Amino acid sequence: MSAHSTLRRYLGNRKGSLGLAILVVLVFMAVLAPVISPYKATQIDPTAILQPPSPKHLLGTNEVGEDILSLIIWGSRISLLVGFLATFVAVLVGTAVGVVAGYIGGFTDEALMRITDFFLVIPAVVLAIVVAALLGNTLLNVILIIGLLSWPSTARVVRSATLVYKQMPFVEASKCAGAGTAYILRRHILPNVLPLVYANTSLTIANSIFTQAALVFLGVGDINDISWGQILHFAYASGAITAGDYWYAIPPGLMIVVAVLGFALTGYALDEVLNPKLKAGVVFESA
Amino acid sequence: MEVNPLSEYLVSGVKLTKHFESRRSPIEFLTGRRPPPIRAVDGVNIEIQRGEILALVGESGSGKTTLGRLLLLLEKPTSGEVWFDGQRIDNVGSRTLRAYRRRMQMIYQDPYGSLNPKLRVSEIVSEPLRVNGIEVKKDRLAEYLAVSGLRPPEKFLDRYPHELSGGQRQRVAIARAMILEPEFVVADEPVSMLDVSLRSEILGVIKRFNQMLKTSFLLITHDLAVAAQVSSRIMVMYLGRVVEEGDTLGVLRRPKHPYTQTLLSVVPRLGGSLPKTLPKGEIPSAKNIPSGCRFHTRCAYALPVCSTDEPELRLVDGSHVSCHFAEQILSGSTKQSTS
Repeated sequence: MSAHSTLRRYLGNRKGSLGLAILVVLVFMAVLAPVISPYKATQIDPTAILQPPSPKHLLGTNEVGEDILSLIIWGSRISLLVGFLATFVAVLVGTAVGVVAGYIGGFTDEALMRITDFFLVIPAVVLAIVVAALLGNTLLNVILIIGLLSWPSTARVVRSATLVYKQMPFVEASKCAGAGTAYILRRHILPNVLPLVYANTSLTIANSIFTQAALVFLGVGDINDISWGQILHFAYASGAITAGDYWYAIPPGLMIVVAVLGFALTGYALDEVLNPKLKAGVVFESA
Repeated sequence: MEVNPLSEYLVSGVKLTKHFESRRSPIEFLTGRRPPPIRAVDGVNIEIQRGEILALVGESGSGKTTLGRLLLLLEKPTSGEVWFDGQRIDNVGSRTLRAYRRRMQMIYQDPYGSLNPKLRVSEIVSEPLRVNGIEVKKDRLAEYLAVSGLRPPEKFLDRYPHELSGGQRQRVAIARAMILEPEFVVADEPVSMLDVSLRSEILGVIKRFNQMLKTSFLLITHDLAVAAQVSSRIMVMYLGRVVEEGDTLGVLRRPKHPYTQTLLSVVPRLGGSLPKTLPKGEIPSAKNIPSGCRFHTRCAYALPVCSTDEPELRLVDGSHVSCHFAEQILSGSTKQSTS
């Protein structure tokens, strides 16, 4: 299947096109924040405090007089950054653990899978709060924590696919020719397993964005970094939500939902396009 | 490493045995009993001469594939010895074994599973060279593809497996197995998944490499017609044991073992009628092997002695046969029981 036809099939998928459209808008928003945001993110207008939407401030202002629309636009940067970097960590760890566990098997597999189970069942937010308290409340730590909490699902997917491919005759043929384990993993296992990871990646990004927002809302992470979760945090802390200042709480909440939706749709569509055989329960092509 | 410089054979297996442990049932787990092992290969002696094509014939479940894999040490024998080029190789370390790997290769039954769908033909065929640090020359790839019957080879180098037919894929798999110029190749049912019209051609490719490189082949097949076409010797297996072994012509013209006879009688012929001597029932489980002669439960000539005494392989009329009544059956003095 060529890259060209894959792209065409992806765009022919309705979920996929909608998801991709959302992602494009989000990325543009983050990259062009200085150009498109009406005010500087931290620019205070002391004459307009907690004002509802008006032509001057399209989404109103907060309790210190910052423009909500500008905060939303600038906030997309941190949300996307955390989403991508945390997922990068998760995919790296998950793929490595899954391939090694699946291919080597035996005790290594047992040990790695029990560790994976541990991370799967542990309540993520609680662990994140504890770790952040121990290691320090920085953005980098939040990225690492989310990444280290998100790898188990990738590891499981990769392991099961590795189990399928490791007993394919082409792997044994490679062994017969004298290939070592590292060569077989790089040349035969990974290229076949990675398409499964791509689809999973998009879902992990969605999850990471959501987790980061939740953590910042609870006060984990650097509260000075503007992000959607942080806006929600201050909306709550300042009592704006209780007071019914809808323009303060709804836009960041909506952005989180839209971003998660965008990545989730992309993930499902990728899954359908890259792994069409999964539906029939067949992992490798047979015709 | 034991060395036997006098060995005239390229590959030999001595009393090769492979038992697979089966999974315990819950009751066996509670009572601490072990289930009977699956006796896939049970004390087989096999020798392959330099440059010959030996056909290993039997039904599925006869242990023929396991025997082939034992000789390549893709399975570790439960007991017995494997010798290659005068040296014992079943007890050497993995590093020494890797040096032998490139001298023996395997061709697989399923041409769909044996080629990585993500690699181009040129990458697949050149892989054995690359992992052994041999310079990859396009001419060499093209030559092996051409001998395998992919012409013009340049047209195929950049293709992916899914762009090829089953027959073309099997040709690629053969080219990959042969490019290291191995001395010994196990071909496990290389044509059973291909259209009948293609079988002769693929067997021809094997024969061509056999003559070109003097490679010895162990051709595993369930089809005596396939064995007849290219092999010089035939070995028939039943339930992990060899029941008959001899020159291809001798075995096909005058089969001595009742099992060989039934195998021959079921080869479809143009204008022929349906075979009269069908074997009764299916091959018994290798977990629960019949006493005495393993074939007696299905044999048309079976007498009481067959269920108690296991026959040894012995020389009868130029072939090795394990049947108490081989001579009588050959001369036609034994009646088939009509049960």
